[in-house]
Amino acid sequence: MGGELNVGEPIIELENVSITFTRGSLFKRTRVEAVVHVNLKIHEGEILALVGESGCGKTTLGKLIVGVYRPTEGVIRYKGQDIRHLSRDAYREYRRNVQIVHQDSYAALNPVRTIAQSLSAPLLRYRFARNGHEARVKAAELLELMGLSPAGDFLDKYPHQLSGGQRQRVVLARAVALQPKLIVADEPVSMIDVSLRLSILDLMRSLNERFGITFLYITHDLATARYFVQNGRIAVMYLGQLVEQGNLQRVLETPRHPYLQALLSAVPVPDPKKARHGKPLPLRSLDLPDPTNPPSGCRFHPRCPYAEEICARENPPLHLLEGDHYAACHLIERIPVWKPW
Amino acid sequence: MKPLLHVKDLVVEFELERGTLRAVNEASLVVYPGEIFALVGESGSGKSTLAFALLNLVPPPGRIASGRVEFDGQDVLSLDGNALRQYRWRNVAMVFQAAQNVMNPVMHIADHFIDTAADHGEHNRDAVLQRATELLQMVRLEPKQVLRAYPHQLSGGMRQRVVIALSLLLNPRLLILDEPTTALDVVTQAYIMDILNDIRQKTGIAMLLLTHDMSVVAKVADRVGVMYAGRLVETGDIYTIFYRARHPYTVGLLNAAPSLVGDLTSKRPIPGMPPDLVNPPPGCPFAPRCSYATSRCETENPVMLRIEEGHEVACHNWERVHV
Amino acid sequence: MTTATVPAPRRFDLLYQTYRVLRRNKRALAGFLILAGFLLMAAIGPYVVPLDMTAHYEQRYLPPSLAHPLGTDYVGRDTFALIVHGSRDVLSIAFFAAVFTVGIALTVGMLSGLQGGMLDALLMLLTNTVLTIPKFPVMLVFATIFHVKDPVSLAIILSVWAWGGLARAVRSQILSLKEREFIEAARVMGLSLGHIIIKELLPNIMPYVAINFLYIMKDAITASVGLMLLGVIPFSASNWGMMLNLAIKQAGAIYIPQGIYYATAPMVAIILFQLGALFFAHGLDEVLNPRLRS
Repeated sequence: MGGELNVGEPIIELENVSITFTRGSLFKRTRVEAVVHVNLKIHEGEILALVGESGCGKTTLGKLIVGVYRPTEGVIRYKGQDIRHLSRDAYREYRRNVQIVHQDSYAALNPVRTIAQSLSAPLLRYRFARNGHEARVKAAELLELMGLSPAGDFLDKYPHQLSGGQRQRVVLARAVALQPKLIVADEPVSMIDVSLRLSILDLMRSLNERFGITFLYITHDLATARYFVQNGRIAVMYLGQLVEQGNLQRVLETPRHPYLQALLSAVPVPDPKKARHGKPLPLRSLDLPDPTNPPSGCRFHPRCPYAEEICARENPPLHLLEGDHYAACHLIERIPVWKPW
Repeated sequence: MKPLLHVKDLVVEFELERGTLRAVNEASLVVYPGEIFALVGESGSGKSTLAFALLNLVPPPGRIASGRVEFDGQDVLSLDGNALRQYRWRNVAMVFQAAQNVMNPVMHIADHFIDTAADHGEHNRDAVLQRATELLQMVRLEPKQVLRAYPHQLSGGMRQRVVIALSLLLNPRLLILDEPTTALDVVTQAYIMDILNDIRQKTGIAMLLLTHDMSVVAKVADRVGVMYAGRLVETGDIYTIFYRARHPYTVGLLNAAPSLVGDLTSKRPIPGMPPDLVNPPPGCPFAPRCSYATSRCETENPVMLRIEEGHEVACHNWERVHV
Repeated sequence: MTTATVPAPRRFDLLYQTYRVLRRNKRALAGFLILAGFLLMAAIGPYVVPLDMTAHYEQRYLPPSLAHPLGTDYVGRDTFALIVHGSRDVLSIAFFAAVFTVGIALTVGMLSGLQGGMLDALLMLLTNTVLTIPKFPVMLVFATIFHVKDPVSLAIILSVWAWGGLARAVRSQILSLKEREFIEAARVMGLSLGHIIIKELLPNIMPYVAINFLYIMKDAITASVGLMLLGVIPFSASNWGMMLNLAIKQAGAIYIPQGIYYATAPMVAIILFQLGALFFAHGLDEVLNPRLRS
């Protein structure tokens, strides 16, 4: 699996999607524009990393795709159809085919239900099993598939009796139970021990290769994104906006947007020679802007060392650089290459 | 050089319903003045417990069962009362995990400094505020604004820097930091690590940095100690550990840490799971997960061997192990 | 994987867990035995212990003896028999009161928590009113206005103003559970609202509700006793509350030294029941909450 563009048709399309949250009472309303004018396509069978810092809106975007939130602007399409206007059957299909894996495996499982019960519920709902006993058998198969063996040891346990890594495998098993087309994985390994992270990522990768499950991998950790995505694509978000996207290897090798350049040069690498002699991109300000009062125009302009007058005035559109590599910057042609190591 | 901190065969146990849990199992390490020592380990490695033991702060049902902790030659574990309070914060200070959330929300930052100083016998407000100003500048914050603010008015990264400044208030000679950069975004993380380096250069303070992130270690540490299941399994200087590690767990950690650069094919997870610290298997705690394990490893626990100057390993098969 | 290799779940897991907890937790065991004793008393007591309601004045206020384990009342009737026969009414009143209270509280709390918006605001207004106006005076008023004929109608009066606190607690639990990831996952998987309410949310609040059930029962007993003591509810003489009323107000038992057995017997019965409820409630949490198991 995996050249650059020869994956399937777009399974999810976001057209100019925005969502604004309003909070507070009559006297103190705060508005947070969590996602702003995002255009993104997710193709069937691909692995796409959605990368950004906390507060950039990547989790919100994931929840929009999964249908937990509704956009205040723009359209989200599943297989070409607006998900707000799906027929009952089409909606059922969408519901079944788009699943989510949360970061916190302990919160993602009902603490007073056994693993078998949590896995059986979706199987019974969609008639993958006709009765409780069949559901149990299928649940055991899923656990074995996720490397939890012997499954019998896990079926009647409660979530708190499992380790973090085991729980996350159970959550993954549940997501896979409905044989979905797309799994949105929101920081699936951030709460797992370092030495075990790669095994979960390897497992997810095998699900993609064996069953063709599309993955949207949401994370702030570029290193694990690189490991998991490999030949796939990456999309980078900053304060609700998509600032760069394209084939991951190319984007990481030649980052064009100043934010990504700053990010890459700030990410530490586990190699002392490289880590100590890197050059961080000098940003004008360290602090993240207040999300309720975002900067005008390009949201990165107060921190950007290359910012000019137009950057404060107008929001930059996504410029096509080459192939599928896009960046949202007015001055993209003039941004110099920045090699941190 | 004379060590600043010397931990000898420390044992910390927790009395639980189902048995005694040995969180720290005969751990020994040395920290020299002015160096940054990274103590690496994952959850259950015992590094946090060890750090608390250094300040004699192990919470019950835990207790320090045996071993010595010497600070500048002085036995720490036998201190109590006033002497212990002097030791804490004046000699050794600690920045806890996610410390940015432990500040008192109804006190100005200035009051945090004044309070802490008063607690240790310094009542001269002006002197304290003067020192606070210097420290805030050292962590690259704007003192006038920050001193007047409440904690919630500052960002997470700013709060973390304030906590670091607070820890330096009484000029400690050793600063313990527990995962100082989790819960922060990458750019701020890099900045804080820069600041720590700066502080070390300006004040000559030594630091004990607890982390699970090999990338953070690579950036700031001078020497490294690797902990697994409550034991120190390898210690050495930074280049030795990264390029010439000899313990299978260290090698495993290096291979399990994905990177933005370099070859991905050598990256792999460590199979298996950490052992139960209440009923540990006999022999080396890492044996069940170790690809170099022999039958000796399952019965005999390896001791720390000095294999070269400044490099110690606890492994029977260290000669066969390579990065 | 064949069906033969998948182990079947343990049947009657709840009973097994109860057994385990009772073995370990001495207090819970004590509470369980006390409550079981009362249950037995209410269920078969009246068949086993005969109650002779005829007055034998020459036998009044007798101290405890083999023939009369708790002595006799002000007209010579056996106190123990009175207690046993009264237990049925007392316990069924308490039980029904708890059922109604919990029913109302769950409905209000869950509707409020799940629906939010206008309905939530209205229900909370109602709840706050119920909470602010003290319940005993209200119950007094209701008891005098409406004729109380049987345990069920008394139970209704006892429950109509008692659900406020539990409703609020249920609502806040629902509010926080609603946001949890496992509920979000259930929605994303398209599980029905019914499933989410009954299979996902309810089991999480069950421990709290079950423990409150016991507390409400004991509160109901106290309230009913209070009402009877004030003579507001005309009732049979074997009801414990009525016994207290008679003992203190009418028969002057507290002024007569021998009357002490008659006066204290119902009190002891009430207190014993409450202790049993409290002790057992401790263990109940462990049984119902899997997180407390190792």
